[in-house]
Amino acid sequence: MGKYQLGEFEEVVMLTVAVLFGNAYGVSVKKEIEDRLVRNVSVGALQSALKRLEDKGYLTSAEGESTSERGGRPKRYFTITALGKKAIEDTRETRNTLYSAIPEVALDVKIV
Amino acid sequence: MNNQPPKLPLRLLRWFCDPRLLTYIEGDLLELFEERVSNKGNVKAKWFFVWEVIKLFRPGIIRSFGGTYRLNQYDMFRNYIKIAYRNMMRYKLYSSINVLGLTIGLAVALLLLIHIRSELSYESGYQNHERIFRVASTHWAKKTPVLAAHLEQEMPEIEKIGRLYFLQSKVMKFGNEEVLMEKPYYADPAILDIFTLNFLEGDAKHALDDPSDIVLTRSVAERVFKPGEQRLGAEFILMGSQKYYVSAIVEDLPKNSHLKIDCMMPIAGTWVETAESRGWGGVSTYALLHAQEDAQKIEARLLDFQARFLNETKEDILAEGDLYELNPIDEIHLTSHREKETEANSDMSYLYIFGSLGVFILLVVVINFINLYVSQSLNRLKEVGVRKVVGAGKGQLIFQFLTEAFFLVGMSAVLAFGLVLLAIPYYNDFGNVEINALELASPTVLLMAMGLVLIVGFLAGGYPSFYLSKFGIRQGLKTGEQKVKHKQYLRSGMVAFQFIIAVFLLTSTVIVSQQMDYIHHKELGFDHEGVVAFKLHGALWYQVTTNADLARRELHTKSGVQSVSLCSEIIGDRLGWEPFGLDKNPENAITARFIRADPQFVETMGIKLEKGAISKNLTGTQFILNESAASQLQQQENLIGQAANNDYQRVKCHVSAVVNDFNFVSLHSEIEPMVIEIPKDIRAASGYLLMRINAGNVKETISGITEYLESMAPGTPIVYHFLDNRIENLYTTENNMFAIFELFSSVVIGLACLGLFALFAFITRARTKELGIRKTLGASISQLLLLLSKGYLWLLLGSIVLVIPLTMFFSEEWLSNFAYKIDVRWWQFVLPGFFVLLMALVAIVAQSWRAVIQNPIDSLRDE
Repeated sequence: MGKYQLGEFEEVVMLTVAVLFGNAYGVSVKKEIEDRLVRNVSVGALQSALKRLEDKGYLTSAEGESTSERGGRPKRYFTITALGKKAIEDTRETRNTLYSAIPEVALDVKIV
Repeated sequence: MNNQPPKLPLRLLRWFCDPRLLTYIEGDLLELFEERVSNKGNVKAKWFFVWEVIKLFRPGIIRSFGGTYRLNQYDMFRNYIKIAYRNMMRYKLYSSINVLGLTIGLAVALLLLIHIRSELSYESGYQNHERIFRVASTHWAKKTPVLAAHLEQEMPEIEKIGRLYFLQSKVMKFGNEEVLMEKPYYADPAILDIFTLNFLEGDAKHALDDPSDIVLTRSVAERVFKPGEQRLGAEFILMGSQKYYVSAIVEDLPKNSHLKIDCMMPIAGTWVETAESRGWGGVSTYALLHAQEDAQKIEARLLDFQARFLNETKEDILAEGDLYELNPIDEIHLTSHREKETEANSDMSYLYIFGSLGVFILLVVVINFINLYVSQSLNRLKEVGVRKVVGAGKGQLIFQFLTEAFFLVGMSAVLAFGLVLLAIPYYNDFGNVEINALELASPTVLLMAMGLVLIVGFLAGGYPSFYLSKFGIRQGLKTGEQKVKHKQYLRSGMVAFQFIIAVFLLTSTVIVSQQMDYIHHKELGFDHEGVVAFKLHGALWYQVTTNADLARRELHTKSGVQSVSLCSEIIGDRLGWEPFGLDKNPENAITARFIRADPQFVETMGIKLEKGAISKNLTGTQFILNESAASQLQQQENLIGQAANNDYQRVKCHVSAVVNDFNFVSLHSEIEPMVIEIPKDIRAASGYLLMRINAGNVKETISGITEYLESMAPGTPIVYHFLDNRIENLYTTENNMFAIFELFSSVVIGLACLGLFALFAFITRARTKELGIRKTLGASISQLLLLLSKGYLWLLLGSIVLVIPLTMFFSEEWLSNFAYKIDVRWWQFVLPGFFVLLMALVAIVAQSWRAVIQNPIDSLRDE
């Protein structure tokens, strides 16, 4: 822990890119998140998160084909790098450790 | 169907978005847009689009605007400064003219700024100055002593009210010495609180309680006492008998105040206090209000109060037009010109004049800078070209030249500060003002100076930097012909503007100096040269008036003394208004200025006797009228010998003579009706010993007189004035202002000429080749000179035409301050204009002479 810095939204984006395996570009990621998590994602938030993750080396991107529906602009496909894989695994690990450390009683308590 | 995304947000996006991300983001946006158009309709999709674009404003996405060169900014900046410095060194003459002009301009502007500030700062040294008001009336600065108590009773808004009575300069006996007090006052204790005087010694609460208390100011105390001497309780004797004991020493009053006080004695119990006349204007009354706004409340009730107080109807008071009012003391110095002011006040108009002079000088300097800079720029084109080749953008070049301009302006500003610091003492002497050099360090002045530098920097550097950065690479690097077009209308405008300023100031200077000259040499109706007045005070007054006949005889024996007279006041003193009427015709009584003198007065002053004779045989009071008074009495026939009276003094006697009108006050005012009262015994009224002396050996005569007077009253300071000096003093304000005006006008004119010179130098240089070709084709020197100056001749003539009405207007305004003024003649407007025109032509010819005279081969060779 601490080696990999990953914010909550960044983690969601990473996971979604992984889910979409090979078909992850701006709009598809956005839709996937919106569908699965039922939350609104703006292009701006998404793009800046993607850029940040790429700068950190967790994602790489490659220019895809251009389609007419995008006014001729190419898509940019993202894939997870090895480092990115380690980062999400590490995050998951951390969570699991924390979860398992919770004494059972704590979760039994009903909050009135 | 219009399903295109909105253009504007898209353009915005393209502008701010990091170019590396742009295409993909744009793609995403467009894809979403199209989807939304089909799902939700065109309008909604568009709004979504806009919203999405707005939300793209975040750190990761906005491109870095510094671009790649941001890293080098500091180095480039250093380079700019270095190049600026090298250029300065390379063209020493141009740069020194430029820096010199800027320095002088900024220094003058700064000096004027401080001067104006110090004029505006009057009375601000008193803690409560905003709440202090002087009770005065439309025409009079001083009112009756009875007024204060009545006002205090009726106006609850008044927190404190106090009176000051000026005793005229007096000598007081301190031990064996006689001490001259130039500004002695009777004062109410409340005055100490109203003006929050700072007590150095003594009890602030009871300083003026006892009738024998005297409060000294610090500078007087320092003058009188030796260091370490016991000051409190020291005895001072006024007029031989009245004893006072020092009760307190207060800090000097602020210099920037209309009040100048040397010492204060209680007003209570003096004759001033007991004077009952409600029409008499004798004391200054100051009121401290609870709040500044209360002044309106009081003024609203003041007319009612005045009517009750004077026992007159409101209509009468309104008809007379002398209404009570409250003057905020802050405004007195710049706006109040009433009778009996404590000192000659300045005027707002001088501040406007100074302000415009400051602006003029800055504009002239800025224009000079632009001209010099642009004309110098011929040498910089290559640099611009190279910089552009290496990759400098227009913005960078603008920034470079602005940096350079600011470098020069900043340097000049530093020099200007030093210059002002050095100049302040001389300026204070020169203009008779009191500017504190510390003002320079006050935050406001520093801030204003910085603003000045910014404004001048942008004005001066703005045009040249845009102008220079516009040149293309080719123009810059091409050898041979360099064609630089300075925009015609701008150049003409600048020339015309400088010319107008120069002509305007020169004409004004001429008119002002002629008026001043006129004032100084106008016939005043008496012979003011060679008259000297010795002030009678203290023991001297006692000795001279007691042994008047002896003194007169003795003085006549001194060499050079022609005649000797005793009188109450001399020119420059404000004479009191008193009623005067003929016994036979009491309805036609007039008010006239009164002066009291002995029968020798008319002869000593050199006033011309028109009718009647002055009897030296003093059996009763005789009145001598001036012509204005005589004509106002509407009794031309048989005036001489008529019984007359002066109601106020309850004097009854006869008119003995009429003299011609003479100016007893400054030429700002018309000659007023005046009465010279020759009482049976002048003793009580005598204030001066007046003597006409030969022009021959003035020094010896004066020392003879002084010696004699000293022997009569040893220890009394001998104070004397020459009447011509006194007359000169009537115009101190004008003289000072004129001196400053003249000085700075000539600076502006000089700088403007410098600028014109530089501009013509530039023009000629730019046209050298053309001149060479014309010469080869057979043009003569005179034709070439005409060619060069023709365009400007029209421009300059036009400016003269434009400037004449302007000058006429302002000079008429200024002259209307004087009752006696010069007739402005047409040549006074036209001549200065043509003088400047001539100067300009000389400048053109001088500058173009070399270009015109030179062998065309020299100018054409390099092609």
